[in-house]
Amino acid sequence: MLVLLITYFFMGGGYSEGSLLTIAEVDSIIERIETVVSDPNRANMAKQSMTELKEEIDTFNKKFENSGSEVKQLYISHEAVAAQMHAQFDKLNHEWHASQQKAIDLRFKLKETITVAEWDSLFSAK
Amino acid sequence: MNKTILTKCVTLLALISLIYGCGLTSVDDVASLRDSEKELIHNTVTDKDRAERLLKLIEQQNLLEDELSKLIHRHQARMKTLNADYSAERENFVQAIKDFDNERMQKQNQFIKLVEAMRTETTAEEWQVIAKYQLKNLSPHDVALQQNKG
Repeated sequence: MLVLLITYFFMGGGYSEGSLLTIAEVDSIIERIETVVSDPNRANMAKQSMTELKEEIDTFNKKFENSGSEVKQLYISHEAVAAQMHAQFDKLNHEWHASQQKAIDLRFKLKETITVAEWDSLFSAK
Repeated sequence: MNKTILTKCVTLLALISLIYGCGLTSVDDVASLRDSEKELIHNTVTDKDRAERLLKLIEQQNLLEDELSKLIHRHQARMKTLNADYSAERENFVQAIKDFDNERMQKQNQFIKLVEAMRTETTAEEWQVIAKYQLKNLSPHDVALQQNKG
């Protein structure tokens, strides 16, 4: 847990800095959905999309954090070769892409449930 | 508080900020840690020629990290702008990610080459000391946060 390190950096900060929304931002949106979206059914659907996004962020962050130790060992090792680092990054890149794709899917799922005005209200506050 | 304890506290704060995404150290701290790294190299790599070559590589590494941090924050801003736009199309997001990917993969490859070159200039023992210092004190992600917040 102490080292997210290089992998974190090359993935654009994982979800903390390089993606659509951070967990804190998702939490903030979930909190405001009921106020902004007056229709309870749509509000529930919107909340569901955001909760799924939060779970996706959590899942990816855990994969990322778990990779830290392996990357650390590779970096410290004097014998490690470039191919090993490339392989490790490629693996994470693959995970990152899959996760980004899911995040985008959920963004568009959310969009289906709320109006332009509601969207602006939810995202302009950030 | 002696220097060792102070250093540990600063490192702990940096790690906490890294994990929770809110940097607490400053650009000055990064500069200071990089200065300490130079000192460490002079003390660790006794062969002067190798030490000088290693320092040049470290300079390149620092420059690369700074460039990467700017790239990450440009991408972050682009994604946030896109997301805030209700009418943004899926293709816009896909393109943004593709552009970011192209640039960061180039930097990633440069970084790995630099690490290889640094290993070549050091013995296994020297590299252990330097690499551990870097990982502990100069996490690229942490540096990236500071470069863009400072």
